[in-house]
Amino acid sequence: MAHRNTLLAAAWIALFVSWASPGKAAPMLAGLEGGLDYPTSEMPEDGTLAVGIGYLGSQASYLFSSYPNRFYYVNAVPLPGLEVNARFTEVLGLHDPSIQLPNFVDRLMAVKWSHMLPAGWPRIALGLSDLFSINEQNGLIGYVPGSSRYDIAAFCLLGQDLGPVRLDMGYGTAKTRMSGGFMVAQWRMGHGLSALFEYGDQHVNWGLCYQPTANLSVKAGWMQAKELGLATAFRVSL
Amino acid sequence: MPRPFACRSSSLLLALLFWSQLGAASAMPDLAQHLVSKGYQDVAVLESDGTVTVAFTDQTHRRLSRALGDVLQTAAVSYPTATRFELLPQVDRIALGSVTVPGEEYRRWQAGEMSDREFASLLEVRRHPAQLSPRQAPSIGQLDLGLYPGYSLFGGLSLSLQEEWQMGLADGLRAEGLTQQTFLGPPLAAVRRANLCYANWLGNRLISSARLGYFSSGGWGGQLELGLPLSTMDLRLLTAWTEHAYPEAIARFRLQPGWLDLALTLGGGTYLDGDWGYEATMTRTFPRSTLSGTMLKTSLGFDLRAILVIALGGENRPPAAPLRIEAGNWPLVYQAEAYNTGRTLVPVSDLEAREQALYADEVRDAVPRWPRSSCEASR
Repeated sequence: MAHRNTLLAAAWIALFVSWASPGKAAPMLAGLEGGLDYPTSEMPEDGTLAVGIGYLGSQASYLFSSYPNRFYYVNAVPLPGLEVNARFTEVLGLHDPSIQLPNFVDRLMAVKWSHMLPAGWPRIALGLSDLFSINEQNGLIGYVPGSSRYDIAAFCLLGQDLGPVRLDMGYGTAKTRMSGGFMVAQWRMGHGLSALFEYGDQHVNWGLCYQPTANLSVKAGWMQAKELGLATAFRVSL
Repeated sequence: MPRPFACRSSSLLLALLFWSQLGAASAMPDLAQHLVSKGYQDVAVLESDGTVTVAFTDQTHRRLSRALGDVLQTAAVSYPTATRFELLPQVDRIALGSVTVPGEEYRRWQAGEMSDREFASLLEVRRHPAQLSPRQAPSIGQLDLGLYPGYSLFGGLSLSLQEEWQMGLADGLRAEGLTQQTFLGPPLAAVRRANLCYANWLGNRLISSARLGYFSSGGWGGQLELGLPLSTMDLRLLTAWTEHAYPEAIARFRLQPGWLDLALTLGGGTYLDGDWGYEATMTRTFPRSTLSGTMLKTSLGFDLRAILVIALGGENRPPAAPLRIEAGNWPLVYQAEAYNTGRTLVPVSDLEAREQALYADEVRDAVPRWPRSSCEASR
């Protein structure tokens, strides 16, 4: 009986995997198209919108580093080559008495513009991450590393497909995160599965991305070699 | 025996004349009645020298550009040899503009002998058309009630319901109001509005709108708006006075470049808190939704917001009735602001909806979705 169940489960997984789409770009843990923690020059289709949720453990979190972060985001492509990310970042365990929510919540935005060069050329992108924080505007979050990760980053990216591997090299101007050079490598193994590897800010992140359909992506990563990062996103046409 | 022959021939002539007059007289009401049976209101039809002019109010399509295709096809069935069709869509029984279509080319396009692009390039969209009367199926006195579920995540989850009603009173004149209740979570800012609104053309080029009534936290007051609409752009001047806010005076320039269904609005002036500033809005219309982003920078602060409106309920609205109740769209609003005031409680623009409905590019872009077969016209 157990043998039969195992066979059924294997057949089910094989069927699911065979239907899975080839690897495509997917949002990072907190929104913009990319790897786990760093954006890439990839651009979703024009006129699409992704809704996603992400989680980052306390030792690698963006806001208030001793607390885990949860992200709720909308990631839209309002114009060809322009990606806009709007997100709520919830700091789990940190209470804000001014709002009727169990946890502190901040609102942030990010944008990325990518230009497609002729076929065979690398893709370039420019962007701004965390360009607006409502709680920074209200004085609740400062530029103090350790207590807050709020920090506008201007970044540029250069990406190229090299066989099954996509490699993106970037440079960011933030003070704490995305400061200096960083890279994202994605190895598309087929059947919607990709292995992710990132290096930046003297940390390494690695993980997996699974896209069972063209619209759905699930990511799991081991962030800075000490914390778990999770995300899932669903993309629709507007 | 010439007399009987003359009698027979004159009777025949009279019968033919009567028949031809009957035919000419009946085609017009037929088209008007056909349009009324399809849900159009304030319908007027005039045929002169091969040109068929049709005025109508559309309350069943969510996009006026779709209604144009339907009315045009219905008119072409009633007048198969017309040399020209002129369509006059109305809002509050005032024609917004005219769309002129050459009859022969329309029939060639229907027969598949002309591409969408070729045909669309022949459409002429003009502003300030002549008004037609008398009109059948008047829209006056009908109450439209829209129910809009709402929510807010800012400061905690709030669920609300907004009721919006409007009723046509006379040509260009309507009464409208809005209330909102929060029934779960932190209470949202109270939104209550009750206004009389009158809009009409001023001379040949300018359209104006005046609004009097109660404007939420602004109290009693009035608003005056002046628009200069052109084929792909318009200039609008808006000023408002209310009891509890500073006078507002804003100039806006709206451009529809004919690319990706985009519209760009730039503006500036003095706002409800007595602050001076400027604003920019970009709106893109997708098949099922509209996405817009607005930036407002004034001497008091900064406001950035994105609004996504997904059309609920399909392409068509419920048919007009003495009382029509309709569930409205549920917009997704994301706002990042350095300050938050009650500025949105006064209507932003009354002319916005009237003008954007008839941009030449929007009409031309809708051509591929216009019905082609006569079967669709009779539905």
